[in-house]
Amino acid sequence: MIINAVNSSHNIKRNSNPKNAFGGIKEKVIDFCDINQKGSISRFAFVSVAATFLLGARYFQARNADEKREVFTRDFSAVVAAVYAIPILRKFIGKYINSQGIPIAYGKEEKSTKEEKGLLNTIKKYWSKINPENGVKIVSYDQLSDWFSVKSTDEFNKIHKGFTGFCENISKIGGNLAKCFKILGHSEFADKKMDNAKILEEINNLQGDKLITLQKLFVRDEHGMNNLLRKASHSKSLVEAGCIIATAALLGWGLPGFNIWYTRKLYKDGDKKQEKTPPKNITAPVNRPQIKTLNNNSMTEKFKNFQATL
Amino acid sequence: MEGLLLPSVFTWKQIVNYININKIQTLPPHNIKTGEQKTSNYRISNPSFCASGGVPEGFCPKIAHYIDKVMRIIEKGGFFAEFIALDVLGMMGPRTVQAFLRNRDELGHLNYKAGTEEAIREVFSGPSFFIIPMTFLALSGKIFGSASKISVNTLREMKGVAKSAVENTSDGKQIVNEFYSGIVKHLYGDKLSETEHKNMTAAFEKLHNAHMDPGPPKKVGGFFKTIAAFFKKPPTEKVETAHKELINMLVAKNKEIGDDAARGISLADSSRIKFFGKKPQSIENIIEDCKNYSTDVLKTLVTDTAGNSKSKLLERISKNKIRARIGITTSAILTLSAFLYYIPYMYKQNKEFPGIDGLTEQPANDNNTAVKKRVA
Repeated sequence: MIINAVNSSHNIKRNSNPKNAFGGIKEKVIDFCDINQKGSISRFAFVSVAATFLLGARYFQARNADEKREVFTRDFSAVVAAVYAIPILRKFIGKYINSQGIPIAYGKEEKSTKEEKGLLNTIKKYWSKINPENGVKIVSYDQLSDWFSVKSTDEFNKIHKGFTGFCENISKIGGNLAKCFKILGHSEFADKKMDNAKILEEINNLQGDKLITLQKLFVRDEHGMNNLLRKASHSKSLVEAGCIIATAALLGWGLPGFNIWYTRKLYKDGDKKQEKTPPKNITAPVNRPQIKTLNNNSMTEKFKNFQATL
Repeated sequence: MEGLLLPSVFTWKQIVNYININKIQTLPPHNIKTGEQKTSNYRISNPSFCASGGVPEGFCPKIAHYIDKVMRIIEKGGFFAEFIALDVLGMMGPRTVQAFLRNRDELGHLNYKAGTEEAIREVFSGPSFFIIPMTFLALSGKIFGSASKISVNTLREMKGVAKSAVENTSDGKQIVNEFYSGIVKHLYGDKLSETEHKNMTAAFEKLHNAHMDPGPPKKVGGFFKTIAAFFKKPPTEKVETAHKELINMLVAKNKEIGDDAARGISLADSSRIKFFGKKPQSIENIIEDCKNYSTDVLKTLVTDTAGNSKSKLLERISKNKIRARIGITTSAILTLSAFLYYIPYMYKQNKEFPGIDGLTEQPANDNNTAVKKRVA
């Protein structure tokens, strides 16, 4: 089962004015079948095709009830876990780490402005909160490097609002500036228990050597890191490694192992009825017509009797 | 990190070299993880591959450091590294091993039937999800031209921009410049000064010209480079330089603008901007789409010497490209579905489910040769 083939960053523009019902269906089919430049299909298309043709085919072509049960418990669960459960887990871990002050995930939550009642709308509302395609996603190492470090202090001049803009960005993505500066070695903001807004105000008013001192904290060392970036990078790596191990443990060992154990248990405990037909015993009497005696001298009769024995 | 044991055939150095070759998209990275992670797809200014730093003191920091290094290699390695780490070592491998070990005590030997079935099933099911669409996309490029690699909605919008370009120029040679001018205007609008607009348009055009006349091919040496070059030609020096220059320009402009929700620009991810869609796209994808369009559709318009009306020609070409695209994508999904449906026929080599071998009596009638012999 491939976990890699789903593109979660699909950019689908819905045709808001389909000419007619067929136009609407055509657009939906076009969106469904869309392949991005890298050759991956959308998450929804992946789940639909996998559930119907991959798992459905395995299930209905299974040779016995054991195989059917195993397909259901192992493969259905694997697809759902790979496509939804693990990304959802990653999303919530990313959110949690963001809340600790050094963000590693970014994304905008798309909230519906309408407050509609009804079961379907409630489900939609909660689904939009946990949907891994909506909201924060753990970013790449390059992006972390952009957020928390610079090659030299000159780079601040190329950013909108300079150093203040750089720090404001960290604040916007959920960072705790006091904590970030403390990790970099400047604990004044943390000691004074200043919040992000006050820190930004103070930074905005800084000039000269004081400003340069703070700016230099973010410059990357000879290894391409600073303490803040290192901490963020390690957080991300541990989360990612944990997710890989969890994926391998669940989908590679856990689910198949459970199936094997459960099938053995069913047979060992003797609860399972033998579903096989008994092997054909060639010595068992077949259903033959009554063989007549061969006292009749008629050759035709003899031949008929001989035929009956076949 | 059990899941990351690498086969002993390849050394770390070879793998690292292989990964370094693929920095500029010689192999497409696409997967559920990188689609989410790689919000910043440009890799020119921040080579984070080596950026995990010197080895720190202390047991926990050391472990964190090495895990960091390995995860960076996986991310930098792109698609194949993630495929090997996650799918092969994390899923296909363990499942096949478990199938071989299934009921070993009862059977007295490895369960070859179950193991073989599992291996066939995993090898064909997993990779088909990306191999089939990728193959169709590559074929689409060869048969219908590179513009058929662009999604339908983007093609429709680009046609609009191309139409304006055709109407605004009398000289066919200026179509490309006008087209890119339209694209840049759509991306940044009034955020650019006239000089910046001209420079950006020129940078796009430079990349287009580099693709039209790529120059001498890059020499590739080494085992992994040669294999990668078989799948996709590495870009020439000229193309690489023009590509880097353009990306740098766009990202720098995004950083200068800072935050602009209407244009999809955010300092939190300066490598994205809204193109023709609701959500911001990565700049690399946008450039790839533009290049695919201009080197195919616009090239035909510019080089057409039959004296046809360029507008009509554009209409005809656009229709064909859109039809080709729809045909390719639906065929890819249908082929994928059909292939997945027939996979069970491939791995069901045994009449009985081998997972219960050893738990029940062996069936005596797996084939009827014994019976036949008796009768004969």
